[in-house]
Amino acid sequence: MKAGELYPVIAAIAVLALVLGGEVLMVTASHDDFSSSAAERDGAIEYSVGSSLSHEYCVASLDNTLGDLQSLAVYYDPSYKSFAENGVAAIGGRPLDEEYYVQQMPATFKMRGIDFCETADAQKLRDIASSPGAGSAIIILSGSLPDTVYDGTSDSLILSWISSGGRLYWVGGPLGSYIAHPDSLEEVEDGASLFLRSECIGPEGINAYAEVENGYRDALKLQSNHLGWAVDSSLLPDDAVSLSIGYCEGSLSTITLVACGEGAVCVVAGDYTIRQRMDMAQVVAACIGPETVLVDYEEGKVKGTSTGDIALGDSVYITLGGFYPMYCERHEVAR
Amino acid sequence: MRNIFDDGKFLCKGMILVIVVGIAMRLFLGWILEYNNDIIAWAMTMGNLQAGGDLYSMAGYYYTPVWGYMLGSFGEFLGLIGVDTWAQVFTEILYTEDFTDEAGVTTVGFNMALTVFYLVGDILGAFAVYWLIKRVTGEVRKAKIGFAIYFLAIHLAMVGAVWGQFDTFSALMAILCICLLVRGNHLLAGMMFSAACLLKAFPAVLILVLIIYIYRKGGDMWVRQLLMSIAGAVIMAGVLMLPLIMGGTVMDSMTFLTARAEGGSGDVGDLILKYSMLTIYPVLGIFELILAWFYLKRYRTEDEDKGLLWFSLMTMLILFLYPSTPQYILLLLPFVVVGMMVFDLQKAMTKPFILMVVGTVMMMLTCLSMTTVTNVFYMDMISFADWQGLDEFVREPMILGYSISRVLAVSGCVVQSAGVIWMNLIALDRMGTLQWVRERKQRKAATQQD
Repeated sequence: MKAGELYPVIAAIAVLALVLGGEVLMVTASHDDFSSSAAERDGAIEYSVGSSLSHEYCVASLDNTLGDLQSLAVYYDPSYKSFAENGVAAIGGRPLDEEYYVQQMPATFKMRGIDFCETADAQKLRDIASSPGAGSAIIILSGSLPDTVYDGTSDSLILSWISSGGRLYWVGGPLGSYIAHPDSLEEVEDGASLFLRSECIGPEGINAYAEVENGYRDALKLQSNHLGWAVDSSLLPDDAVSLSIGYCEGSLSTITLVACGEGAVCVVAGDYTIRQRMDMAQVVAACIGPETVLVDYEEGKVKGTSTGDIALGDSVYITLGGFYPMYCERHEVAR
Repeated sequence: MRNIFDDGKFLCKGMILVIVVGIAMRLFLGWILEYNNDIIAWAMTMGNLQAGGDLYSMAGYYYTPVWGYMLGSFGEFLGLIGVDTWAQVFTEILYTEDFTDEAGVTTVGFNMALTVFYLVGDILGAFAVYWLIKRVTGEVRKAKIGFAIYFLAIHLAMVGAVWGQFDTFSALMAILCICLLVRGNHLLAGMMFSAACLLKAFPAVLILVLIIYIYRKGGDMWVRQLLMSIAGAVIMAGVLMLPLIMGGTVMDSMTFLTARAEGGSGDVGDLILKYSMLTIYPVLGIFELILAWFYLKRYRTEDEDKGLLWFSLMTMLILFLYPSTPQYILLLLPFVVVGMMVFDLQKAMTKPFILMVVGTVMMMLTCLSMTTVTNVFYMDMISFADWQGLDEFVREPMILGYSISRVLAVSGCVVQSAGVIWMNLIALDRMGTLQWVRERKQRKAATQQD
């Protein structure tokens, strides 16, 4: 038989091998395919990044971060009303609703070295908020807080939890403006003031077309430019400690962190999008706080192992893969 | 006059010219133009996969799994050849996202690697076309011309090299399935059919024609052959869907189909599109059933392979009677090229074929400004100010309140549809259907005169 006669068989096997090879690669891929480390040496941080494939990386040296996370909870309780609406989905894509957003959280954080992300319903959220907040974080995607932790007054459980060192990440609506009950949403007058001491939340439905010029956008590869319900930093009290990062329009920015007692509130603006999820995850995993300083950041390329030095901070955050990352890791550096 | 394909050898001067021109055309297009809308989703999917997630644990991939797996292989290929930076987000063009475009721009290295990836698919498809024509007609010259028409079809090159869409693999898998059946490799044909349908759903429309072919050609063996094909299809579907079944994401893999049927912004154009699809596709489905019945009961031939090719062509021509996006219509290409060469329709089909190609290319030019952003940010061949001028020109309402982009899309769609309808009429005429209609009319007129 001539080789040409066998062509369809050979081509079919080659095509199927391409498909099945990719399937095997998917099944066997893991966070452990990559590696990184960092340590203080001679007044700088010496880091290394490892990858068997060619990738770009970015190492950000940060100071005054919030410290390592011990626990991370994402609030989701379908038996309670939620303010948030479906976000932006690609053509043909699954509608990005709250349930889908929550489902993506474990994988989103696992690739950032956090494998303890858990979902908390209204009752569990009360249990978490009843404990000291230091080292723990809560993500609210619903744009409203359940009545188990929030009653629209300064005595709310969630506020004392933040003051004790908790980190609240807020997505999906105007901060503090709605109390969720099982069958209704209750509006709170001046709700943002309870958290940030001023009514500083901007309108919905606007976008930013400029970067906040402090380097975080490039260091953390931030992408979302949606500004709905963003914090207007010009309306914060004069003595407020805050940090704006990402993209901005005037004094509104896509991500704003504000100090509250020992803890922090981080408002991630805009409708639900893939980019918003990625940006929020970067800020959570890098443990960025209102007083965090981006000391320096370096970009490079790796195939095998790359090493380098960067100016000293309390930690480094390494992102592998640029704007479409496959590995991120935070390393606290002993000083 | 001696034809450049007349040489008995496969690699004659004509074929070398075709291959060189086809490759050069793709590399040039892939280097100079790239439309990022979908390609960014490929980058995100590869990032998610390498992160250790599956195809659906993080948003970004909405298709059935086969293309996702191929992206897994492509991501490995990128890493091995040293393409480290896939894409960057440029603040300067964030405003284009208000028009549902994309501020993420893939790098030149990424684009060229993707072009080469699709180029391989195009070459394999062209060889499959060559093989099939040669096998059925026994004429090498015809097979070479078929290869040339397929490989040099500009819309095939552009869909891969410029739009970054994977439909070349859909066409390849569908035509390979036909080749394997003709060869009698029923198990492998079943596997390929299954993979083709899980890449894009359209090849599934061939199922009745394929079963009827096995029945007609198989004689006493047809049940065994059919079972072998089904076994191949089931095994492959099981292997491909296993990670999804284990991960509980089977429904997520169907999102693209369900979201298309359910979704829409609710504006008039969207509603027309949605309801015309819901109306026309069932009608086309009935046409396909009538065609299958005709193939099963009425069609007489001494060459069953030719019968398969004819009814596959007819099936695809009917499917694409509903206007298609530039990438979907690639599935029609191998069937039309094989049909033209096997059934000596070159002359009749040339004009409608050109119309189809031109219409499809016009539709792809609607995003001309966005295809040049790689050029602006990585190659400095176009200044940002010039690019903005082009972008405004493309988006600005100019003709009866419609932008150039919109006008190109609609007129391209009309031209493409005209080509496909014309090809359908030619095929119907060849089947004798139109002759039958004409004779019936004549008989009716004669009766009325009497």
